[in-house]
Amino acid sequence: MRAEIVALVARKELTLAWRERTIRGLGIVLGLLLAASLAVSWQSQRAARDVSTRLQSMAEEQWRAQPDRHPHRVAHFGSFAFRDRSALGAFDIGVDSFAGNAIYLEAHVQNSANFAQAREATALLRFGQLTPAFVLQVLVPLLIIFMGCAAVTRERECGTLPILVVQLVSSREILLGKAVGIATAIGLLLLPTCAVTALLLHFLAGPTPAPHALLRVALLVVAYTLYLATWILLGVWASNRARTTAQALLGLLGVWMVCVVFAPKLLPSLGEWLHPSPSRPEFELRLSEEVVKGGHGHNPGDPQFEAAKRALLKKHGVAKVDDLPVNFKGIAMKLGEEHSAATYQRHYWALQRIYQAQNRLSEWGALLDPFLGIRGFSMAVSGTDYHHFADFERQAEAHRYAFIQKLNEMHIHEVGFRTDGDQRLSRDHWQAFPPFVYRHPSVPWALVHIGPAVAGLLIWFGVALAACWRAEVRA
Amino acid sequence: MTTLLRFEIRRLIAARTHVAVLTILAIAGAASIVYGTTAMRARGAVLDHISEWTRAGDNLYFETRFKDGDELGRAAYYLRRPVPHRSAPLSALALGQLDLHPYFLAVRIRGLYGQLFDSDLGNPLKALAGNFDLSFVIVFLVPLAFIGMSFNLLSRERESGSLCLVRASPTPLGRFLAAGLAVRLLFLLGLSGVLVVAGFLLSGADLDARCALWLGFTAVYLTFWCALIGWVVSWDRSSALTAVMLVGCWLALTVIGPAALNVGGAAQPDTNGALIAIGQRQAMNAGWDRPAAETHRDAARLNPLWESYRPGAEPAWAGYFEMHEVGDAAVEAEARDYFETLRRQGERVETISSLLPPVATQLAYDRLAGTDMESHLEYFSFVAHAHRDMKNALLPDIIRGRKLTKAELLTCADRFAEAVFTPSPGLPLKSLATQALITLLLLALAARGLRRVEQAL
Repeated sequence: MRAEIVALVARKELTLAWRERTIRGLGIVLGLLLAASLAVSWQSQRAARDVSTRLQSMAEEQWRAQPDRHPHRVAHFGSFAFRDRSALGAFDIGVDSFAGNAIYLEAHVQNSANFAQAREATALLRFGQLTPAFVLQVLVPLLIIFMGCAAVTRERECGTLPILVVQLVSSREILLGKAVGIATAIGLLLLPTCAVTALLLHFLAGPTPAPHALLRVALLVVAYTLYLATWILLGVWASNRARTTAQALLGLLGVWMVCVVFAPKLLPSLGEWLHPSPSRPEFELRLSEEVVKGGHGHNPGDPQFEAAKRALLKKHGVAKVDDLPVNFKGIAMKLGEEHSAATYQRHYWALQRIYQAQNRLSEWGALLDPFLGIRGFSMAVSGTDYHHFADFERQAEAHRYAFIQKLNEMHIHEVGFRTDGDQRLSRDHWQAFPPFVYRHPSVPWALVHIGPAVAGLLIWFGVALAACWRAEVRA
Repeated sequence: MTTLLRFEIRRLIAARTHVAVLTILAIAGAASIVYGTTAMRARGAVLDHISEWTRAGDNLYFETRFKDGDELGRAAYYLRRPVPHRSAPLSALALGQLDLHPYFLAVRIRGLYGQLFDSDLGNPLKALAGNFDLSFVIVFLVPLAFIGMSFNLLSRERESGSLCLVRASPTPLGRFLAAGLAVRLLFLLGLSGVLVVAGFLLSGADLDARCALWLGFTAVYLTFWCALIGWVVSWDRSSALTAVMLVGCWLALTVIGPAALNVGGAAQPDTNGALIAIGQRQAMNAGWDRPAAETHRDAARLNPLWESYRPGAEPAWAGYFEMHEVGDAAVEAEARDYFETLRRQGERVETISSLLPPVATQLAYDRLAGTDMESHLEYFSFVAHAHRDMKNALLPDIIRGRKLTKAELLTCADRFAEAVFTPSPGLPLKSLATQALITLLLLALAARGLRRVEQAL
């Protein structure tokens, strides 16, 4: 294969793309759409982040402004954990709009993540959201299909193909040259917006930027290049296979439809059908059945705490709980919380495993559908996939458990057993409690879950390249 | 004309790809009905057990953590009243936003705004994918099939060299193309009609005015696409270009347009649910830090039932629930504003989206099924009523400090039947008229275009 011939074929393809009014028009429309989607998405992402930052600091302020109180009163007052959006959410919003934004953190119970944006949105949200990722994943492949479908058929229909062949230009040189030409056109079209996106993400990442912002951008660039290159190669290959441009176009549109419209809609439903998840009332009943087996934190006389009580009395060599140097009411709270939190965690994990099983179908679907591959990869690297949401829930629960138990420790050591009913602790006690800060997971963490997506992208690119490599151009 | 139609029908049946497209569509439609009815049946099965599960859950606490002589007030802290959201059978064909909102809440007499926004358990990835229901098939897939079957109506004659033959016949070319489109429309309408009626029957919905309206919307919507396709075909471009233009129209109308409207027309409301929940918590907890008499004064002003309560020196359950009463009242106005904003936002979107037939049709299906935002807002106010009724029924006994035996405790849920909400779906006649008007305009455009093809050739 000669590079200069490939370059020559590519240059001709690029010139043709520029000359054709429709392609030029479509390209400009797409470029504008990409820029507009970035502006809009950036704006709404910033608004969402502003709201959650404002509400988080409001909740923290209310926490610190509490007057002198009994520590368990403070535990019931509780706190809120707001989900800090990933900065890259402006590029790919993922499941963000459909996942809860805030969790109320209080003693004894674990609440659901509420206030998902989708619950405050109109039916329009269901039609899709205009983000740069959407334009790149869904719309740009259509432009590629349109450019690619005529690549070889045009030469054949105009009778220029035999001329190429008699000049000893090989099939490989023709097909790859055309692919390089289309790739250059698409690259020129996307480059400005992509550069702006990268700069925005790097410099305006917000208060708590996701770690390795630059690495994330680089990974996204590589993955999208692979994805779009796959479509280009498929387009050129189909154009060579088909008898007419229309036939190539129809075939490619059919593939696009199955990959982009059907599969992403069907697989999650299929996953849900194969792995049914419990409804909330059922989940709560099963949870309660186990929670009541443990002691009730508000009742230090609960038989469940008898062993702990006896051990304490023995350790301190006293006969009555009143004489203990620690407040047994606080200990009951602590033990009750330990049991209920552990029970909840067990049930929560079981539920997570069901959701993960449901999603696995869409994840492994990437091996058959490059769209699912890039979507999974892009959401994960942008920090907006299902796993990131579940991670938020886990961090919020860890934060809840830590501060509730800290308050229970104060209850144990600083509130008297006999004075428990009336005693209040100075508000200084909880001023120094750390506020909830969501720690954005690292890139390796995000990548762990998306093996199939990476494999799918590579396999599809490999298959498309091999197909073009081995194809024979029929004059 | 009948000969021409018969000829087009025979041609359509003879074309393997067209038959394949119709078959795929029929399978997708059947699958969507199965999907919808299965999803609704699963919800129904959960709702059938709601009272039983709620009571079992509450009684677990009563059995293990209560004893004879415990106060009703203490039990009321746990006691829940189930408020199931029983959607109409028709929901199976248009699930709308059902899966984004809770279909069940179990309210306690504590502060309403600490419970009203609770979510169902759910997989966000599934919510992102949406529902594969019949409305999706009709709104998204049928137009695609229509495009696939008709984009080369004119260009294939030219590209296969048979245009001269067509023109040699006495039938004007425009009428020839119109007949082709009409036959495709009839086939797709017939298929959709069968699917809709089958959907109504299988989901258990009555074949009433709603069914007629559903069919009416479907007919207008598909005629709209027929007109649009006819118009674009009349521009007489190559097969490939026509296909690209039509797919572009489909994308613009079903994806890009709605997404743009979502940005422009449906800005986030100024207040949001979380702010209400935070406000309620703050106002309720303030009750711990001020004299019970003050809280009582405020509560009695809000709800006359509290007047008979006399706060004493000792903390009492009645005093605790007074704090919740005051906490709810503190955010009442804000909550009203919030729901009003959501309602107006829905209305605004409905108005501006009448220019986008796919959105207007989807909204109409959702309205007919009672699965739109309007129904969910109704549900919220229904829950608020159920909450108030429960509270008012329990208050006199709580104020009296009534004590219960364990047997009474285990049956105290008997005081309330579950409060079943059924949405009141609407009949969006105005929207149908608007859509019909848009379709007529486009039909006129298409007719003119098809007449011109004749002259241009």
